[in-house]
Amino acid sequence: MSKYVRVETQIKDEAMFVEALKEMCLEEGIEFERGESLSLYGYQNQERPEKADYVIRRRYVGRAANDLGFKRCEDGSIEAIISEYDQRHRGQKLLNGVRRRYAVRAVQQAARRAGHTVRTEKTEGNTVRLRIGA
Amino acid sequence: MAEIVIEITEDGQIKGDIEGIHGPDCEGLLEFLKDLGEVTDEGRTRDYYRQPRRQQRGREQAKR
Repeated sequence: MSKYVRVETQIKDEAMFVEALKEMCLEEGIEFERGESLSLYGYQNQERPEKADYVIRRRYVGRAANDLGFKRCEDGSIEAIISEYDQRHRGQKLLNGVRRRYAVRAVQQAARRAGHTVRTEKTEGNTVRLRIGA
Repeated sequence: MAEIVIEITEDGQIKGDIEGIHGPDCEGLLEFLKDLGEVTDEGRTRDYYRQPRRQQRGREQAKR
């Protein structure tokens, strides 16, 4: 290894995000709602102040969980809305699943646009390795 | 063979490493990853500064 970079992925492409969200939901056997400024509900079924454009309802997130939301920001990026409680429970796992799937797609697309060939390798656990011809 | 090896971590972070090339030839190869989010770390390793092998070339010249 001669040079390296570490990047905290930001969800900037909504269409790619939706693909990642659909794939994750399909694999987990759960559903999401899509709309505009959808209300989010907490673990006692109380309406929370935040609104979201994509929602995984709390019944899919876990016991005592809150709704997990994704909001479209003014710059077109997608921001997750997750409670502190859910960051320590299954909600974070679901959120990671969406981020990971999004990141794989984003890297593949960016590499191809830069003229590289991409090979995807399976690894143990949830890490994904891509080999890109330089 | 020169390769960019990218690992997507469990929580979706991107780790990109260049393998098989040293020195200035590496520059720019990881740029396309930087548009995908916030760069939290980047740098060069000892391999970057490694001199290319010259021994074999010297032998070839001696044969001539």
